[in-house]
Amino acid sequence: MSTTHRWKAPTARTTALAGAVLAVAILPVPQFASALDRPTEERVAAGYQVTQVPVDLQGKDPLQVGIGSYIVNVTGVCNHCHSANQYHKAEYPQNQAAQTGNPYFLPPPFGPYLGGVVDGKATFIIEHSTFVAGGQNFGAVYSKNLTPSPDGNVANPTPRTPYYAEGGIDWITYWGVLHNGVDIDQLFTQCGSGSNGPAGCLPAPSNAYVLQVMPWPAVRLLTDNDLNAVWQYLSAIPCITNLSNVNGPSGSNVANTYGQGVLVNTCTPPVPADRYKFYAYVDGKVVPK
Amino acid sequence: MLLDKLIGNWIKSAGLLCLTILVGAAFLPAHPATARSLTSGITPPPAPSTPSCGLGKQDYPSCPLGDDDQRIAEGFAIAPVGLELTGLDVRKVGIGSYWLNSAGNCSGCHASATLGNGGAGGQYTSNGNPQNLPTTVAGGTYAYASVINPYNPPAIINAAGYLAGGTNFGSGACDPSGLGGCGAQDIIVRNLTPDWSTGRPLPEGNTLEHFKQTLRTGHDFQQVHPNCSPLGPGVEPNCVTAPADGTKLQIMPWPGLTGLTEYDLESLYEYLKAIPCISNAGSPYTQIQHVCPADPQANHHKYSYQNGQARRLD
Repeated sequence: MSTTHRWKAPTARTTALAGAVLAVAILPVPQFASALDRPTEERVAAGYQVTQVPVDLQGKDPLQVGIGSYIVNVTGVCNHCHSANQYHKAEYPQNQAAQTGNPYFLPPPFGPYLGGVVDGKATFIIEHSTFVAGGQNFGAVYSKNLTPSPDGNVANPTPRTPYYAEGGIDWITYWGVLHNGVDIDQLFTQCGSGSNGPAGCLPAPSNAYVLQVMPWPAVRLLTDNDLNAVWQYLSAIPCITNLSNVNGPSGSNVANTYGQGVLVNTCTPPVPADRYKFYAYVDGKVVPK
Repeated sequence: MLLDKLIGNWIKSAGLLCLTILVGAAFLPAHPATARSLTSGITPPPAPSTPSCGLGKQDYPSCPLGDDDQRIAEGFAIAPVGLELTGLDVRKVGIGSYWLNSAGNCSGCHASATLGNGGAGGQYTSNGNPQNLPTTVAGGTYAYASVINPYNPPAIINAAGYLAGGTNFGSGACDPSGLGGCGAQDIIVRNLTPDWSTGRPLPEGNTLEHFKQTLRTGHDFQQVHPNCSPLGPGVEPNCVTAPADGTKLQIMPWPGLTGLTEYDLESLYEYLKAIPCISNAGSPYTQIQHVCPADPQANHHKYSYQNGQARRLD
């Protein structure tokens, strides 16, 4: 297969085309030194700016972790539902009292809406001790702990892998969960005909095999590249063991275990603390702060 | 005439029913699931396929960093309504659609409470808002659906009420578990579609500058639920009590969105200009009702994005 390119005399058409290309070139179109487009670079930078927990970048793509942080913390606001107490207690005393229930129903004054404004942006501090560790009560459904578990969550019915997101879900399984909504922990039972079945079973047309409340029909519309970024960020954040006294029904202290002894991140053995760092994106590079 | 119609409809539904049974029968052997799933008619979701990337052997299999050409193409592919692109920045419209319709899932809360689905509203066709469907089933109370459930694919957006708002997250929509309590106030989800009362599309009735400031500070330019006077709630409609700050949006998770880049904020605004106006006449927030063109979808079309250009599909 010859790939010889012969020079041809410019026709009127190619000249016009060249003119158009030249015109585009001299217009103030942003030119990027790196292979990244500028909005993507800005998102990586914002991702490292907004993450309020440090990350372990070992074995991961630093740019993907930055994008993942941007999606988890900003465009998806995952911690709104996946953190039991989302905002820092010291700054928001109203969070001292255990708040219960779905954050979308928390009436004022329990919202995070009391802080000030600095440089045109509201100030608030994300609570580190509960960050995406689950436990928010949506009725019979608790949001799951998204943090990675070093022990691979061995008690879980689905085999898991140490140091991966959500107690050890590998990338291909994670992609599957977000695409068909399957609850790999199978915490719910489908009722038989009518509503016959064990207490708490889900009758048709609800599908007990898939995650409830979680908006996976929307999240699955992320590109695979971006969903992988989310998985890498959730694999990079510190493990938090499931919280035992948050948001139980009627103020009681109910473990976020669905009473089955599953889904508990024990966070042992701990990852050496010095592997978790805060980073910044500067001049095309991810560097420690 | 009416009888003809009825019979016609009956034949159609009978045909649909037969088709459903046929399709169901065709699929049954493919799902030799548990006995309980056969009696309920509910089967596990089909096994997922595999991601298009990240299939390497590394400890943390990595996909390439996404770029905006890819996100824009996805944004146009997933926009559930026709778009009017006249005078708009096509790339920003695509990015805005991408964030708003995927991870942002804005229509989960901002779907109309009354339009589409025979007056039932909701995010998906014949489905509802996953965050606030109170239903009591089998002796337990659930915050998610039974009869109306977005979790039985396919999830098709209810275009008739897309982002038109109207659900009451305040007193009218207590946490169905009774755990979250209820505010004494009405906190009604806003209509994000463009208001055309000025002759140009203003998403949510806001200018770009106001839109940016709202998402960066939570400031509510419409001031529809100000702080109550000392007379207390109940005297003034929709007022909120201290220590809540009535100048700021409640419920809306804007603190997370303060981290949006300037480009992405502008992209969200650009996308909201492109979607069809939906009237929210009858909203209790009488001061922020939208005025729509006579034919709100006159210039709206489906597009795909390829090689740097949006191409009309219809």
